[in-house]
Amino acid sequence: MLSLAEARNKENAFVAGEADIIVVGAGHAGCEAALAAARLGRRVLLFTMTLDSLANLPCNPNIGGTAKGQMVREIDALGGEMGRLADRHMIQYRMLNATKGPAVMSPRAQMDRTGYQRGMKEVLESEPLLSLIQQEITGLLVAGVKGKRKMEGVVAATGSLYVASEVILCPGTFLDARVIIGDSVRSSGPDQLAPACGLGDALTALGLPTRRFKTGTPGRFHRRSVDLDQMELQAADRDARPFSFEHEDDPSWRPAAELACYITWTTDATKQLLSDNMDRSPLYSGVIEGVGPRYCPSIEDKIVKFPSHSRHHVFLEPTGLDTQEMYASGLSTSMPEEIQRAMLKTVPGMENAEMMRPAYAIEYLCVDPTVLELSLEVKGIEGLFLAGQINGSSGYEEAAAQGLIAGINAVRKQRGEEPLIIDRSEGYIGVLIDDLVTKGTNEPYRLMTSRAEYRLLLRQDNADARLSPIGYEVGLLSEERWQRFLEKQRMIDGEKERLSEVRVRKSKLSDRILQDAGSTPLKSTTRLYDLLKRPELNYEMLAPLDPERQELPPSVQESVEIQIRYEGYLRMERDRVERFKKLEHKRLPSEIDYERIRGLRLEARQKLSERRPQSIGQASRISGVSPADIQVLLVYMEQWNG
Amino acid sequence: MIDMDLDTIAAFSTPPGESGLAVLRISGPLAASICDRLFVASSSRFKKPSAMEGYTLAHGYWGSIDEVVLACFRAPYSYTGEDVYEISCHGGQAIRQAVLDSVLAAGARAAGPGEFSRRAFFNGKMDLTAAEAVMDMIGAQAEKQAQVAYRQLTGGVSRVIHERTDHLYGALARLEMLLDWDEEEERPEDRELLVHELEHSEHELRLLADSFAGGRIIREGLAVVIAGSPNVGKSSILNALSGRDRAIVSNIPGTTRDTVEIDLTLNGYLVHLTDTAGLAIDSQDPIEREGIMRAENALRAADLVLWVLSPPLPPEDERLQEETRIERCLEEGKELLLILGKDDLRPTLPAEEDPAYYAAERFPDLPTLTWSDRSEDDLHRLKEILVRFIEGGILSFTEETLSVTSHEQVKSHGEGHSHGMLTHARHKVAVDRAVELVGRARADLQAGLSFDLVAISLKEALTELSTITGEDVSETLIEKIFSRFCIGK
Repeated sequence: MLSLAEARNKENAFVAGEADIIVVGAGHAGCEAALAAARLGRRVLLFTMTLDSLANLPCNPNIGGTAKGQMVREIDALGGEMGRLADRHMIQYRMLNATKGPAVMSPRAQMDRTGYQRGMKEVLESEPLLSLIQQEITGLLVAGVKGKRKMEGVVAATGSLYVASEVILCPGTFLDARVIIGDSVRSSGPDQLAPACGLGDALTALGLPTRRFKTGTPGRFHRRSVDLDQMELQAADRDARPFSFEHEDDPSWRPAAELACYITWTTDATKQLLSDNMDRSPLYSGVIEGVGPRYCPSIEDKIVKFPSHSRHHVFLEPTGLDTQEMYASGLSTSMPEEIQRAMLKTVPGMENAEMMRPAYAIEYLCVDPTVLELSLEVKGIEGLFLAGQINGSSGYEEAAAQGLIAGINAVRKQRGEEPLIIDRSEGYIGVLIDDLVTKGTNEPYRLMTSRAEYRLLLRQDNADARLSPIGYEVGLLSEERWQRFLEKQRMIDGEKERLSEVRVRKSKLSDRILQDAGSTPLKSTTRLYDLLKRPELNYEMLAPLDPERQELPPSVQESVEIQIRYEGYLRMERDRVERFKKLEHKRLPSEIDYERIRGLRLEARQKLSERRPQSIGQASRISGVSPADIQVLLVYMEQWNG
Repeated sequence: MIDMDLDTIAAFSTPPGESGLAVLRISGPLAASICDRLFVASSSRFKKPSAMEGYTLAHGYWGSIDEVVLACFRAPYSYTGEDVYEISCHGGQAIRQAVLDSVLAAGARAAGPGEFSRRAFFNGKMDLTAAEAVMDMIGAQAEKQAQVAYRQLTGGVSRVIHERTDHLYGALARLEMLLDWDEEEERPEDRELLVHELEHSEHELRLLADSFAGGRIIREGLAVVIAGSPNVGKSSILNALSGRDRAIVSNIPGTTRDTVEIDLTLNGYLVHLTDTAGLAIDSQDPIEREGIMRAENALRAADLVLWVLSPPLPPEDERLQEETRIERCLEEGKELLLILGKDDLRPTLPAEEDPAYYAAERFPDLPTLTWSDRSEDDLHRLKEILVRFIEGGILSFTEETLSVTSHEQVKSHGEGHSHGMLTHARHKVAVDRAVELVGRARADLQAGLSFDLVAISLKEALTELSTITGEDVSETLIEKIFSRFCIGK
């Protein structure tokens, strides 16, 4: 590992660029990181292997979904780009879990894939302080000795040096990647793009613990060759809603299209075919060594692990406005092409499918994220930040969220400010980063609502209330967005106040309205506020009993209704958050010597010395640290502070 | 979750085991209101607890449990620096348990090791030197606690909790799967299935909570009281069980004037044996009357009463009074074994004087055991009954308990039972709370509330239980989801 001074002394050394912050990789993490840093006034160099495929959606062409949809709204509330761009290129919108409760209602949208990519390129190009550079980065410039090292820049494959004190690595699934189809194993990134070679060695040389993860993607098929009439139609929601708070309640906003998806099922013949050929699956023959995600198993995996299921569903999804390619969600596989083609014959409606891209598995190098601080900076290497799939996560949204936080924190570091850490009670972003950094992960990590302790607070409707004050303070939200936010909150509070004052008297009208809604008639005069708590009623239904009502934007109505209806449960969750925060606010100084704390069990001493948690709360989530150890730490800390 | 100063903690500050008096300390913001609810002053001279000033005492009754002295130390002039109340109650283990249970039920939490001292330290009641001493103490205890926790994790309690909560995890995993992975809207059968699963879990958890009584006996010992009229041979039973002449035995009625208490172990189980003064009804002797009063107190605290009936049976009026006493014991929910003493004399007796006939006629439902002082077989049988009783976990005699052959060795019946029990008040509180939360989740489902809300109560229930097992609920849950459901498109 060279320092900048050493690299400069070499023959023909050339410093090709200098900036405040360097971002390597222009996927979803890298784009958010670079945009955030540039918008906060830093000069940014953003490197990508090819300018023609940045912000790619190489797998499922959609953004959002359970927990992820909430997180896209959070990214937007903080001032990130993903939500805004997704709003411009969505070709199908659905609100998942609409009947299962406000905590889990999750927006999801199919994207016009190339539109999204072009859109991101435009956004990047129009950012004054951001320079996009097509260069493969293969080396890192690091000064100092082990324990106290500092980033100084990066080295391109051409040998050119680029200098910056903060470097954010976002190489996604490209690091030492290989693509596997049957017994064909090639060194390649997704979509036939070149893999990133060299950077992986640089990380190993830095002493970072690495491992290989695996993921996969199904084939793409020509629309004309698929018999959609044989399949079940899954239409777009009629009332599409934007991810971005900027487009919220804007009557002129519409999705780019409202296309349908189609559902079909695998059959016994599919199962038979795959079972008969399991020896040809690289997953089971030992060719694939990387750990795959349990939440996104390949079709052969599903058949092995769930032998009792006779069929599995397959979704055919449009991938864009400029293409006939359809994505076959559910048919992810690493089987040889021969088996892939035979499999199609067993799936109703796909018997004659023209395969445009075969399914493949991809293996890539990533870093054990427990080496990170919650700011996403590597412990012990000043100025090196990691974001996205390199940290063991999966998914575009998970990557974007990390990129945004890493970008913000690189800037804050340069300014000498405290890092921005979203905690588990403030957002899914906090859950994601804390899970990765504190607990680590043994498989590609996907966000789920069940990972959040305070799910009812982390809703899609209130992402702005949770995070926009932070986004504004950080400096990523415009004054105009901020004023709109304040106005929305004023409207919500005002309407809640008004509803708690308006009383409905028992009358023929009220009896009829309530009975029509399947509710019991009033016994005495009742506040509208209390009526709204009845599960069978909603804000809209009560309009006839509320003549004074002013027309409010739908987002305000939604928030008012949720806040009133779930008041009791929300209070319960807030009480729990309060208890959680107490431990979260008890900071553990970095100089603590855990080996010397009597009473800590051996395992706890080791884990704490190794992970060096930033608060007692974080310490309590490390596996191997028991409640008794936490008690000991609490007492020790009081002594320390005293 | 560790609460620093939001909650109120309680624990005995006197060591466990039989003693004359025991002191329960309550510290925290709820201390005064808990005492207001449970303490009844013996005289209007005493203020109600929340109105007591620092360093004052009051005499009265703790619920209907015991006669106590209540001491008040107002914040910040107390050991912990918070409001502290100390209840001095009688030291019998059943009384102690009942007093503690009442306080926990009223909203306090069982204090962890060193927790009073820790609060004292946080509230500036201790200087650094003292704090260091406390650190050492807590450190040592934590180490011990950690070992205990580890043992519990690898077997015992956590295994039982897992067995009984497996369904709950199953139900929550199904719910979470529907929330995180199923893109379809809710189907009526989802809800029905969940209600069904929760009913099952509720039932299982309730059984677990009910096992506490038996578990407590294993941990704290079985309180056995020997009672009966004067001179029926009570002390001989105590001596036989303890294997030494602890109580003075004579044939003069009323020899045992005070209660005689002795701790012994049977197959490793602790038994607190109390021999009482004969319950002569109208003794004028003040010492004997005091003895009788103590006998009554001991009876109230008993887990099991060995009621001895021996020939010759007492006169009719005394017999009736004795019957009333036995009935009162039964009404109080005591388990009772009738011992038909002096069995060697029975063959010579007419039926109307034979306690066996009398018992069969008056108390046909009570189990009986014949006893003669010098019979090794009888002693074996009694020991066997006690051991089985302890291991049975449930305080009732079953056919099996008494179907012992006299030649059978006293032997333990494996550990199967003891693993099925909750042994700590803290665990019991957690399981009780879980039962309540699962019940709420079920009710919410039936009332049509959305799945995300139902999940809150269920997760909270599992979080309560995880305070016993120490596992990470969300990780376990995710394991369950992936192992049970085929996820992913």
